[in-house]
This record gives sequence, structure tokens and C-alpha cells, in this order.
Amino acid sequence: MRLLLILSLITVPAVASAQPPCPDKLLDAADLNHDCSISKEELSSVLQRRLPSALADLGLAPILPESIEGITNRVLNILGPSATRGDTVTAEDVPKLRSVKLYDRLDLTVGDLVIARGPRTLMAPSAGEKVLALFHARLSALDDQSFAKPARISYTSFDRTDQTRTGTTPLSQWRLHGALILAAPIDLAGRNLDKPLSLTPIAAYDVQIDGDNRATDAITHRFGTVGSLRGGKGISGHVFQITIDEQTDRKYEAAAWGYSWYYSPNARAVGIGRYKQLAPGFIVRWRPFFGGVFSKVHSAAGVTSLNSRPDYDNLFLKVAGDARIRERLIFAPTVVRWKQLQGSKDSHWNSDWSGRFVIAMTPDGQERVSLDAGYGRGEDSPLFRHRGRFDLGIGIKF
Amino acid sequence: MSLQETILGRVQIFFSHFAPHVAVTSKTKLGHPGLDFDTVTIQSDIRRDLAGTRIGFSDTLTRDIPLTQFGEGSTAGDIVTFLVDPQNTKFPTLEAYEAKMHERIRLELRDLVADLAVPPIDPQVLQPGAPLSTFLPNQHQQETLRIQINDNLDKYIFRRVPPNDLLGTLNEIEDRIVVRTIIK
Repeated sequence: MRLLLILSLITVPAVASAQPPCPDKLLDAADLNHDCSISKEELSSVLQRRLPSALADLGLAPILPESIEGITNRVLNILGPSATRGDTVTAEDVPKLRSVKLYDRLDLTVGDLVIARGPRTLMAPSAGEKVLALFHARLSALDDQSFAKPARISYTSFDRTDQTRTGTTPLSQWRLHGALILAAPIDLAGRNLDKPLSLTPIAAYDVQIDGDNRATDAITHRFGTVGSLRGGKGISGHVFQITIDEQTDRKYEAAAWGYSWYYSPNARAVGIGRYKQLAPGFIVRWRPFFGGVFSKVHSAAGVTSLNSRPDYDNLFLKVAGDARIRERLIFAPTVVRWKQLQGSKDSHWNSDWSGRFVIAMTPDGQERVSLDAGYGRGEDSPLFRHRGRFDLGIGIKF
Repeated sequence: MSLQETILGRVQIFFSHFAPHVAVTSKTKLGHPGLDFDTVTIQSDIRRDLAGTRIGFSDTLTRDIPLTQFGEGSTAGDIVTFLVDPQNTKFPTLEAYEAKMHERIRLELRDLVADLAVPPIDPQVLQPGAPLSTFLPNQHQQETLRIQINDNLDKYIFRRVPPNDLLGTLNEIEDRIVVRTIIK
């Protein structure tokens, strides 16, 4: 970026000059056209005019007027009068130009900047590149696992002799599973230039289409934001997320709305968000969430997943945590209290209790063999059917 | 490598505000075992403060840190890699970072000296080639200056400024403090 800035300081007058036009990268010595030249006065005035903003872009602002003058004078002195070329800057000046110091007491020259910049690919992104970096194409925007996978467009064709194809599977089928997601982090400045509020607005267009079968369509428009707000000494931060979804099909005949939101505090002093040692070898961390989920199908329009989707509006309070005893015994409970705001308006408990005992591990803490157990009991949203299950297993990892 | 080491030093100072008892290296994980944060904390408090001004890197970053850039499996070295990536920083070389440090310390020194002088001096007319004792003649003023430099520049300075560093001209003092912000 610095090279670009220095280049921009030098090249503008070249373009404006009546002399033969210089190439865009005047400072790239090898590329300098020997026929081009720049008026020294033009160079001087442009340096004076543009140096403050260039230095500001380099993070060196604010700078005193005399410093700007000093840098300008150094450049002009190095390029001083020459009997052969008169009052212009030409290719023969480039070696001198490379030795211009930006700061008197610092060995940082224009030449250093050229070398340090390296190839153009290392340059800072342009505004367009920055905007493009905010967009992601992924398998889906609706869950974290799919967000980690690439979008997929595929075509499958079965031979007529293929015996693995079931009766309902078409002979050939294309699929489009992907999402275009805009996630733009925005830190909002507060007092003293610090940023108390951080927001990541999210907008996503999520398409899950299998061939000509409209009944399996799921096109979702998602809007929302993830945010965090600086807290005080006890509660160091406040985290929140709001998302609104509209699901439809390829003909936009189906319509289902939903939203979800949650709030959770960060309070490391009491183990929320960071392990806290309660006794030697015994560490605990946990996190409470308070939030709500809502869904309403206005028109299923033949879309299978919407036909069976219930309407609901539920609040929840969830507490999830985990405790570790000497890194061998890990216990991770999650307890949720649901409150229905529609229908029966009942309250429900749901809980999952999982534990793991590490039987064998490497000296650096990698688990090799573990005994896992889990127990789930309660009623979970949205249908609140009673559940009770116990799992036991052995995990082996080499 | 020096720029990475210098920025790692600043990352260590950053995490000392959250976990002073953890000796952070480039391999220290943000989750467990390591700094022991959970994902939500990393993506909220840690991410926000990393991009902030008070203890963070707002002075070097050219853009905000994406939400999912760091997780429990990320290391302090991953943060350094992000911070020194030319796509993300205004100072992709140690020379550029050192120039920035010179300017930051020059301004801090100039403003503090002008403020502590009796009567206060206009910072714009302070001569950087003049000895500090010209403006702050007594020991008490110089000790106050030293404390304020250590406090105001604490996110940059790897070793606190001792009294001996404040001998000589403002230019010489600036050079000595800059040395304390760079790992070569």
C-alpha cells in the first residue's frame, strides 16, 4: 500500500504534465520510460498537497506541518538541479529517488518501501476486494456445519440398467444446494475512539433445490445480526443474536416465517465464557442463554417440509456448562426450560447430561480411549414430546 | 520474523489483561487447554477488544475482524498471522511498524512534556533536539513523565521505561523508548 501511495504521489503530476506521459508505476525503476519526465514544480506541489493524506493512510498521522515540509524538501533535494535535464524529473533520478528518507532518524527510504512491498499480490485490498471479502458462498447459511462446506451444484444420471435406483428416483437429476451470505463486521466507535459495540449484520439467500421436484424446495431469505456490547467489571460483555427467516419455494407460492433470538452475558469472574478453577484439578465453565423461537406457516403450497411444520412461539432459558476433573473426567450438562407462548402455554423441561472418562491419553493431552455416557430426558421444542434415553459407548482415536 | 515476534509481544500484552497467569506463546490455544475461553467469548469480547483501541490493534488493522475468524482451536500465532497479513495491516514490515512507533512515541512524548512543563508549553513549539531538563527541570516532573509514558503506552512497551531512559534530548529519549517496542 505504501508503494501505491508513494507512486500515487509521483504519478499524478506525470499524467498532468505536457511532457511525454510516464508509465503508471514511475517508481518501479525497471519500468520507467526513459522518454518521460515530470516538472519539478508539479512534483513539489503535488507532494505538498498529498503527503498529509498519504501519511495518514500509512498510520503516521497526525504529523506537524514542518515534518511534511521536511519530507518534501528531502525528496526535492535528492532530485536537485541537474545541468543535463534542467528542471524535470527523469529516469536518471530514480536511483536518487530510491534513497529518499521518509524520516530523518530512521533508515526508511523510498527504495526500502519498494523492496519491502514485494509483489503486487501483497498489496492491501482495494475497496472492491474488501466488499467481495464480505460475501461467502457456502452449502447453507442455516447451520454451522453446512456453513463450513462449499456450495454445490451437481448433476446425477443413472443408467437404465442401474438396480440401486429406487422407483421414485428420477433417471437424471440436477441439484442446487448453496447460499450466498453477506456477513459484514461493523465495530461502532464509542468514546475515546474505542468500540463498545460490535455488530455483524447477516443477510443470506439460501437455496436447496433437487431437480424438478418443487415439493422438496427450501429457499430461505435470512436477515439478522450477531452483536456484542462491552460490559463493566462484573459482566464483561453482552452477546446477542437475532435472525429472521422467510422460507418459500422456487415459485414463491409457499410462505413460512420464523425468527430466533438469544442473549447471553460474558462474566469470566464467575466462569461464564472461561474455565474457572474451583479446586486443584477441578475447572468449570458455563453459559446461560435466554431467547425465543417463532415459526408460522402461512402457506405450505405443497412443500413437504412445510406441510408437517407446526406453528410455535416459545421462550427458553438454557444453561450449558462443562466441568473437568484432572482432565480425565469431563461432565457436560445442558438444561433448558421452555415456555410456550401459543397453544397450551405450558412450560417444559428438557435436559441432556453427557460425561466422558478418558481411559488413555498421550502425554500432551490427546485423548486415545474414552468411555462416553449420555442421558437425555424431558420435552424439547417444538413438539414437546416426552423423551428419555441413555447412551453408552467407547471412543477410540489413534 | 521480527515483525511477527513484535506483534506476538503485543498479543501477549493483550492477553495479560485477561489471563495474567498464562504464559502465552504462539502455540497457546484460545480454548482449552490454553487461555480457556469458550467460542462465544472469543467471537465477542476477545474479537471486539482485539480490534479496539484501548488494548487492541485498531492502530494497525485495516479492517474489522470477521466473526468466525478465531475459535477455541485457534492459537495466539493464528492471531499474529492475521494481524501481520498485508491484507489486514497498515504496517506489513518491521520498518513501517518502527516508523509508526517513532511517530506514536514522538507525539506522546511531545504532548506529555508540554503538559507537564510549568507553565505548560504549546506542543507545536517544542524543540525535539533540546534536552528534557530544559522543559522539566526537576526530578518530580520527570518521574511523573515516566509513569505516564509507561501507562499511556503500555500496550506497545515490552519492558517498562526506567528513569535512565529519560536522560538527554527528546529525540534520544524517543529512540530509547522505540527500542522497547520492537523485537528485532
